Amino acid sequence: MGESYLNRAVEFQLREEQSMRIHLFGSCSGTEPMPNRHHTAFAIEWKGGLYWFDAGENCSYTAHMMGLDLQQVRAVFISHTHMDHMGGLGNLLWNMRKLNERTHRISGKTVELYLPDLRPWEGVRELLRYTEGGFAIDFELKAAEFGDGVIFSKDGLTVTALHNHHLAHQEGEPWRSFGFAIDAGGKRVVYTGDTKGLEDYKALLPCDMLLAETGHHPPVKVARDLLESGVQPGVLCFIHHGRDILADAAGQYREVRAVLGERVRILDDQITLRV
Amino acid sequence: MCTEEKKAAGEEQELKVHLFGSCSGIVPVPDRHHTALAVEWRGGLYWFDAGETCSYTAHMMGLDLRRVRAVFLSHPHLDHTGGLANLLWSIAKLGRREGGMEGKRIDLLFPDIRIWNGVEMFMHCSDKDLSPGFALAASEYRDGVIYSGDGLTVTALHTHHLPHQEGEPWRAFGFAIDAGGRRIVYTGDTGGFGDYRALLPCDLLLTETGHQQTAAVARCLKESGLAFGELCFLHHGQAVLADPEGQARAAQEILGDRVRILDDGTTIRV
Repeated sequence: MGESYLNRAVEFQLREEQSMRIHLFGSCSGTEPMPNRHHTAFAIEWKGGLYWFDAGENCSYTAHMMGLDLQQVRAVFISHTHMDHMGGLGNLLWNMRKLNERTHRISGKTVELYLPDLRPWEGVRELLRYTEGGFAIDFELKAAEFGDGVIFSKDGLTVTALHNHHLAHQEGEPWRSFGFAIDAGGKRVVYTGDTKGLEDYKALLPCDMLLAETGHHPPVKVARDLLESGVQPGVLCFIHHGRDILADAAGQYREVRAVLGERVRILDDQITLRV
Repeated sequence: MCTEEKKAAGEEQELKVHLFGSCSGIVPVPDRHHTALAVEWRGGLYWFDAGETCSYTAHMMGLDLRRVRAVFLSHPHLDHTGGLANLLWSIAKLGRREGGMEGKRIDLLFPDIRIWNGVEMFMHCSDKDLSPGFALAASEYRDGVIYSGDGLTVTALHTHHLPHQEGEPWRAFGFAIDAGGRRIVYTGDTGGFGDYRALLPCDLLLTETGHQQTAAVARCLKESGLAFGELCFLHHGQAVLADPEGQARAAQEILGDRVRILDDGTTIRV
């Protein structure tokens, strides 16, 4: 009996260690401010690290209020440089520094920043340069521009980027808008970023969880396209909500559930999911 | 004058302060965001400091961001500037969606124009046109009258919150805002009472507790004999955050009930 209980406890702990947690800080697209929703941002928690995807305004405040330790942030990935995806980046770094002044848990470490375009990063740096103490820090911020392919692989977590057609693109110029596949513990989470449609992220599927935006697509169309493609995800979670969901989340949920059944969710700010 | 005319005249003279963020630059605190407020006068909003989430909170308070006439930043620290880009982005968003911004101009007054350079660089890839149909007029200010429009005047006075080199510009300021025969003083971050004494007397004093104790401010005010109308604390530091009632009482014991500790989302009539 005792041995069986111990086995179950060990199994539970192993499952916990080998699962990703997704913490959603902001579920709104780039509309005017909406009650109880902030701009897009979430983090994947894996083996004690936080891997941050997009950084809409207020994301670090919300994360701190959810009880997360911002000093666990290992890397930040920005899908594209629109304000509703990176308006909170400066404050995220500022809050990390503020916390580190008290407990020094980032001291000596490197936090990696992946942006599809480094020009806005220069603006963030310029703003931080004139804040308290010139934003002197005893940890390193390492910013890099990325393109298609595996852009991060550490501690058993891999991030693969794939460009999409959300932003206009000129032949020979770098792509500036991306979706991501995040692989860890044998599971895959796909975050579409902002897209032109399923064709933009189909190559990242199949996956265990798909985080798909509705800022530019009716949710029911996303569900139907997935059904017809034959590569439906384990769970489909809508984020970056556009006006359809903002106006009638319950009605939209009924429509998508009729297409894909119970494995569909419309996410709110401050939700944590496990994959 | 009929009742309706009297009401209209009253509204014309109404002077309000809306507080969006009451917190100083510490780690996130429940129900409090970084410092930002707006003075409402004759249908215009005059924005002072712009901590993160200020435009979100203002919109949720029912204020129309398209009425922003000018933004004044007291100093370049991020707990006073971290929401500026989102504020301007939200104004542009509302203007595109609902109109009403065509031909307008918003003045942006900085103690250090390099802040604006950073915001512009940050915003450029988000929107090629930061102000569709309207103008953003950014400038650096010094001591003295820095704004005067529609019967509202803003006077800046440097503080000792930031180190200062002889011959270099001051980079931290407090403000006196005059409209309708009343004066609001917002101290910004200070080196103490001596930094804003010259802006008094006033009808409403908004001062910070990130670097001052409530009782010390109250004592200095009492000893000065200068009129202040109401004393409201904002930009709260550790002492107020830990014990707002106790810190309010400490100042009230000296000045009576004309003392308040402000919360986010508060509106005050002056």
